[in-house]
Amino acid sequence: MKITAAKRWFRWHKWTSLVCTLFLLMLCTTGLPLIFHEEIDNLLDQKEAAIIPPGGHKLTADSLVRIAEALHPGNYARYVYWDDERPNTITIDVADKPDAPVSHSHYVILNEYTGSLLGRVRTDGLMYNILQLHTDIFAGIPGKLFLGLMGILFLVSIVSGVVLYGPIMRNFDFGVVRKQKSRRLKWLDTHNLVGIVVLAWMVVVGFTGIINTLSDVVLGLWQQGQLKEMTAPYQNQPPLTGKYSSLDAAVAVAKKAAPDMKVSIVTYPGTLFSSKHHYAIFMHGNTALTAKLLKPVLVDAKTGAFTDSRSMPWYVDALFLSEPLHFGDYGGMALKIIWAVFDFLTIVVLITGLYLWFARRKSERQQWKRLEAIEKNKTSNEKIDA
Amino acid sequence: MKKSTLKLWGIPFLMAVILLYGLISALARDGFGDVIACVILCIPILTVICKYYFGTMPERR
Repeated sequence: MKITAAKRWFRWHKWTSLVCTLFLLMLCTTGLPLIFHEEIDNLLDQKEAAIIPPGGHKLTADSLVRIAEALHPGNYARYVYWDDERPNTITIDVADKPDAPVSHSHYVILNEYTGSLLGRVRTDGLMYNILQLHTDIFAGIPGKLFLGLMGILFLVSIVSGVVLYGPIMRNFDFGVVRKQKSRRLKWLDTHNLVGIVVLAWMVVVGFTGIINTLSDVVLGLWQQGQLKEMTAPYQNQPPLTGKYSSLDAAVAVAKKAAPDMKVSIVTYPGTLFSSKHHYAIFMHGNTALTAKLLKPVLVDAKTGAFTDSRSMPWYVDALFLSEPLHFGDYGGMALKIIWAVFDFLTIVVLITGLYLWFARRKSERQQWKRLEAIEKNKTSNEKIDA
Repeated sequence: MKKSTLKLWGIPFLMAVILLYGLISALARDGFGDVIACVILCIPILTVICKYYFGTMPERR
């Protein structure tokens, strides 16, 4: 590579990294506890396990929803889901309006056999705040998109870094760390070694992170696209009034429509994930891969009749697959620990990079001073000569 | 020329392939597949540790 081209790539590497490094350090440090969010949540917020009474039968989902709504008068169920990690329980989100912000949510976890309250999902705890900081720096959709932009800069800095790896490492064996020479060389070699080894992980997590920042865009596209198409006949109907049809019956209709799948979550009419007239029952598959993908079944919330069911468009599937690949929560504890180590190594790359920028500035300043001193000496010598 | 390209990019390329294989196979499989993926994903981590702490000193040129 010609030296001018290398310099150009170096400038790209320097500036893209400088702009995104502080945000990436924040993302890496908040990401570390988020990898273990399930374990930390369980530790901070003990929830009772569901005890099955002898000879007991499961209560209907309809009656469990009524129990949840009675706990918070004036609020109505809007999301209902069954957590595989917590068998024999049902989680119901009740809020004052179906499209109210998350801060209005009351998540109650009930025993499916007795209807007793086992605990609540908190939306004001430490982990929730860390998650908010990580996803949108407490700035909503603009914050999310801003972090997406930082992610794009991160990818550009990775690409330029790989291009620079060639000329820098040409005369060295892979993974040489010159510890004896100077601190700058030691940190430079560490930066290059760790950076090139963790490269693919950083690209995958960076890229899926960017896709995750587009979640609201993807939701909007789905609402305006597939959801609108599926509910087109209902477009001009007046909003639903009075009691909705049975939730249990709606779930039964969905199971019949997608017999090989399991119910993941039910969203009520008027929420972000459904039309104004339907229960949207999202089904997931049974294999490792298809369990991550959801398929909506729309059931008329007045008549209880099946309306439509389609596979999600590719961009929604891409978002669903990006989530586990970003958070590393798809392969058990061992994978989580590996994820944390890669996260730590990325922090090492960021900090060594930042140090190299400082050290380089310092040495450049010293070099200028030296040159100025030489210049001064030269002129004073000339004067003496004259 | 060819030899030096291999020397320069061989291990980085191998690391990228190992990582991508591990990440994706852990996503697509369950149970034993997860275990294999995790073992594979440890290779890059061990490489960094070995090279950093036990790496050979560069020859003086």
